[in-house]
Amino acid sequence: MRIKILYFASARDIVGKRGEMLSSDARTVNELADRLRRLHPGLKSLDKATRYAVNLEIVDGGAVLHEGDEVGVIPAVTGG
Amino acid sequence: MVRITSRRIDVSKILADVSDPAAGGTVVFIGTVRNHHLGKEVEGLEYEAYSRMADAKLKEIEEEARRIWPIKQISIVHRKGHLRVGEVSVVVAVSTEHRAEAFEAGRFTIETLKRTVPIWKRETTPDGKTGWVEGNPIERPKVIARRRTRGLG
Repeated sequence: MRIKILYFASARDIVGKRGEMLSSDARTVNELADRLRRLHPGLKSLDKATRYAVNLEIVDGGAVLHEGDEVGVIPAVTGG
Repeated sequence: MVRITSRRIDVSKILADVSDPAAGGTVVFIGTVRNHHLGKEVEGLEYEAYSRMADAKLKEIEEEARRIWPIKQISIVHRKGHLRVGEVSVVVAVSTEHRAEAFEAGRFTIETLKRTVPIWKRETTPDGKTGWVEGNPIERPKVIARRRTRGLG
C-alpha cells in the first residue's frame, strides 16, 4: 500500500524533507506512526503533542489506512 | 470568506466584506506580531501552514460559528510566510444584528482557530536564532464547539 506522508514545522526539520511516498503494510495510523518513528527516530521527541491527519482530517490512532491516503504529521499548532 | 494568504492582509477590505445592512454591530480581532515572547526579544515570525487542510478547517470553524450564532457576515483570514513585528497575522471579523453575538462569535472563532488549524510559527530573534513556538496538540473544531455548547469551555 502506498501512502503519501507530509511533514510540517518541527517534524519537517527533524526529518529533513517536506514529505515522502512510503510503501507500507501499516493497517492503521498507529502502525504507520511506529514505522515513521523507526525511520526517523528524532520524531519521538514530538510524540506527546503530535497528531495525524488522513486526507485533511485529524483521526485517532486506530483509523484504518487505504491505498493513496495522504497522511499529515501535525506537531502542536501555534496559529494566531 | 475564509482563507490562508501569503499576501499582506488588508483590514479595511475585510471590514467592507462583512458590512451588512441587517447588521447592527461588527467585532474585529486583529492579531499582530509582537516584539517579545517569554521575555525574549522577537524580530519576526515565519508562519507555515498545511494550507489545504487549514482552509478546510477555517470553513468548519465558520460553519460551527454560524450554527451557534445568528451571524450576518464572517471573514477569517490568516497570513503565512515571513512577518515582521507589527504586521497583521490574522483577522477575524463578524457582523451580527446585536453586539453580544458578535463579541461571542468573534471570541469563539479566534480561540478555535488557534487550537484547530494546522498553522505553525517560528520566531526569529535579533541574534538570528530561530525556534518553533511551543503550542498545543491540534483538536477538531466540532469538538470545541460541542464542549462550548455544554458549557465546558
